[in-house]
Amino acid sequence: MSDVPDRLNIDKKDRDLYNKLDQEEILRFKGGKRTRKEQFLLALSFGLKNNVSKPLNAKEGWFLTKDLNEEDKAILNSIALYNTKSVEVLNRKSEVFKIAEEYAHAGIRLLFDLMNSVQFGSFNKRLELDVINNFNKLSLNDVNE
Amino acid sequence: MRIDNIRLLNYRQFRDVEISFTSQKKHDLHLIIGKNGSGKTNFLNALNWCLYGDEPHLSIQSKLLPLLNLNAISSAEEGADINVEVEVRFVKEQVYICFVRKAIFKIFKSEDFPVHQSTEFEATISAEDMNSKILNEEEAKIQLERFIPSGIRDYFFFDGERLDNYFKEAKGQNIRDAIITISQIELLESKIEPRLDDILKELRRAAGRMNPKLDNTTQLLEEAKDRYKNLKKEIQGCHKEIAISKKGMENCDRNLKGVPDIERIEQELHQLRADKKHTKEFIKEYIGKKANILFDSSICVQLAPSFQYSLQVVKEKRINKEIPPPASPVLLESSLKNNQCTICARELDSNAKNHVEEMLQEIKLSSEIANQLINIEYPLKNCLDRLKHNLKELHELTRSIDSKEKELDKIEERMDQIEKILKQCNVENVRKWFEQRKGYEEEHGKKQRQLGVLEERQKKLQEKIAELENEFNEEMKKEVKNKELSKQINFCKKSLEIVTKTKEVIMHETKKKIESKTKDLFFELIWKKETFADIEISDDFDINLIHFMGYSCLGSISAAERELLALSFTLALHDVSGFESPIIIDTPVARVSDENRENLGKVFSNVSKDKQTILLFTPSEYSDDISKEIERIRSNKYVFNLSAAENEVVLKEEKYV
Amino acid sequence: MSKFTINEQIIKWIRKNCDSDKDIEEFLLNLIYFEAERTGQWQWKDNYKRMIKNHSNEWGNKNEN
Repeated sequence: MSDVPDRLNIDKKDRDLYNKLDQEEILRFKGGKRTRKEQFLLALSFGLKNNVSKPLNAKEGWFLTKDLNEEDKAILNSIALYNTKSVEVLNRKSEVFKIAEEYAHAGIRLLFDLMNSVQFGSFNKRLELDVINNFNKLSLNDVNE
Repeated sequence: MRIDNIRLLNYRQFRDVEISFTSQKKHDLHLIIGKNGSGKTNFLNALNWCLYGDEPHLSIQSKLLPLLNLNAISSAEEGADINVEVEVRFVKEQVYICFVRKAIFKIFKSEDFPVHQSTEFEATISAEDMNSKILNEEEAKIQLERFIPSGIRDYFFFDGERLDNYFKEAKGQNIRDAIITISQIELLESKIEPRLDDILKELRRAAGRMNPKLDNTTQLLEEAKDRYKNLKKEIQGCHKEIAISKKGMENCDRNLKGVPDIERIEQELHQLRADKKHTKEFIKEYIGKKANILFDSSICVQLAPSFQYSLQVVKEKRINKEIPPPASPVLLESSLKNNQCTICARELDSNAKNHVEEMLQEIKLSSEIANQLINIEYPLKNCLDRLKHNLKELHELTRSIDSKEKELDKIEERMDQIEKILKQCNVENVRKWFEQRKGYEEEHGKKQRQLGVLEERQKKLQEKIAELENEFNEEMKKEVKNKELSKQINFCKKSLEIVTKTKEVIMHETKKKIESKTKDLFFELIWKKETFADIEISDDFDINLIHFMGYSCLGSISAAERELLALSFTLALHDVSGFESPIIIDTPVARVSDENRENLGKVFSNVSKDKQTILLFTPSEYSDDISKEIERIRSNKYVFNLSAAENEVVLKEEKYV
Repeated sequence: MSKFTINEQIIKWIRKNCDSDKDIEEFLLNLIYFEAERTGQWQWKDNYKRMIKNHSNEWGNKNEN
């Protein structure tokens, strides 16, 4: 098995954006609502959904690998599998992490822009609308067969 | 009986003034117009002074001045005697009765005021077909009492300014006294009844002196009767207090009409505040839950395609047997080595051996990746299941929050309503009225209970008195030598009973007549005929005006309506008493608004058809509203002006053109 | 009620309440006119006693029987 990095990174320039997520209570780190890991996963989900990823310029450690639970690991693996369409990637953890980091790097900007584009107080409503619309597009009945 | 002429000599502002009240018209209505301070009220005082020896309407300024006219004082010589004289001449059916009061003052320049020397009061009765008869003071007073008794002169000559307070001040006792006077039962109540009672006591004591047992019974009887008298007063007092508290409750109810129950409303507000807080907390909690679900769902739903792809890969790998069935490579290696199945211990044949070798090869080949794939399968399925569940819960939470927010809106709406109500009504006052009402209610209940006890005591005392009287009578019968005394006692007792009974019946009848007549007059004259239903004079002689809705509304009617009620009552007194005396009102429309002056003008016009009516107005009072009603029907009209030095009335008569 | 006389109602009710007891009726009516003609404190006690004595004599005899 390839080396498992001890942390996941963000681009240094993204730190500011992550801090500004505090404007919305649902995304807030300060005050203990969301962890960095959770913010990272959300940013990465935006990146994947919009099919954009971007290599990091200057890396900065964001959270430790040991904070990942089994579900988080499964999520990162599935993203890497989806991205490369090759199961071999599962043996290369550094590549799995890199893929996730690049999606998150692109996604944080999308998340931040979305946050700024909605009327103050309407972010949750917009998220809810997006969740429902995206859910309706999925055909989830096939999943467990 | 009407006033024909009034003459004033040296009385205050009136140096030498004569006013005649002739009437050739259908209406016996006369006017005196004068500014404030021009002498109108002192004209009324002059009448009172002449007839009764006092001046009940003196202003503060007049009280500081002497009775004697100032010009008369200044033009008099040192030591001179000056007369003040007021003469009032009445006429009825060509018989004149003239009352004169004359006071003599001596002038001493060194004194601030002239020194009173003497006062005389007399009357002269004259007619065409008879010799004049002069009545001395005593006789004159008796004559006067017969047609304008002193005790009720307020119902003949009165100050319009005070009419507004007429029924506030004229408590039941005043009205009772008026009724006693006009029905002449004062004769019975203040003279005959107590005197007969005194005589009866004396006769009983005399009987007691002859017989110790009788003496004892007499004493006990007297004591019992005294106690009975006091008890009766206490009961009357109780009735009065019950009436006062009842009126108090009615007054509070009137003030509180349409006003909400503040205590109940404040309790509701307090509850609503608690409900609001609770609902808000509930909403906050659910919003928090929803936010968490939303966050998680956002990640899952956006990553779902990757989950679905990965699960599909796992499924395909499993179908293609690229993911081996779960089997331990150690077991398989051991089986090959021993040529024996590690589980069932069966010897492996060539097929079985091949199969195990293939399986081992599969496992060895892809164990790392396969494990990875196996490891991601369950969590990803879990994510997707959770996503489905989350969406359902999101929907439920949204519904609950909406419902709670609607509840919150309703709570806030009701709170607004309550706060508006509280703002509109002066909460302090309302609280005060509620408390007052509670106080009156408690007092009412207390007095009712007290009344019950007193009436029970009264009943027992009556029985005791009857018993003692019986005892007395029985004992008297035994005493032969007391026969005469016994006759007198019984006679006196029976007479006393008849007098008491007569008094009560007449009081009741007179009260009923006055009530009925007041009602007839009021409803004939009132301009708002639909508003009022009845007039009652209670057993305590309080007047009540009943609104058509059934409640007593005396406290809430306008000044004009109150004046009309006072007028109706007065005229009823005149009618029932049979006193055919004139009615004189100073500033009759002082407190009446313009629109009602016209109505009162019509009233005076009506009244003056049957009764001499003399009205004293200020020029501003005698406005168009009232003058258009009475100017054309009035008989005499005089204008009072003050001289340049402002110490003498200058009289001017305005003939009707 | 005319000018200078007693209220007729008093007379009427005295008569009614006496219930044909002429002695008491006469006594009370006399008493009423007596009082009406006088003012202030006059020698009422002696007069009252005298009138009672006179009127009660006949009355007593009738009532005994």
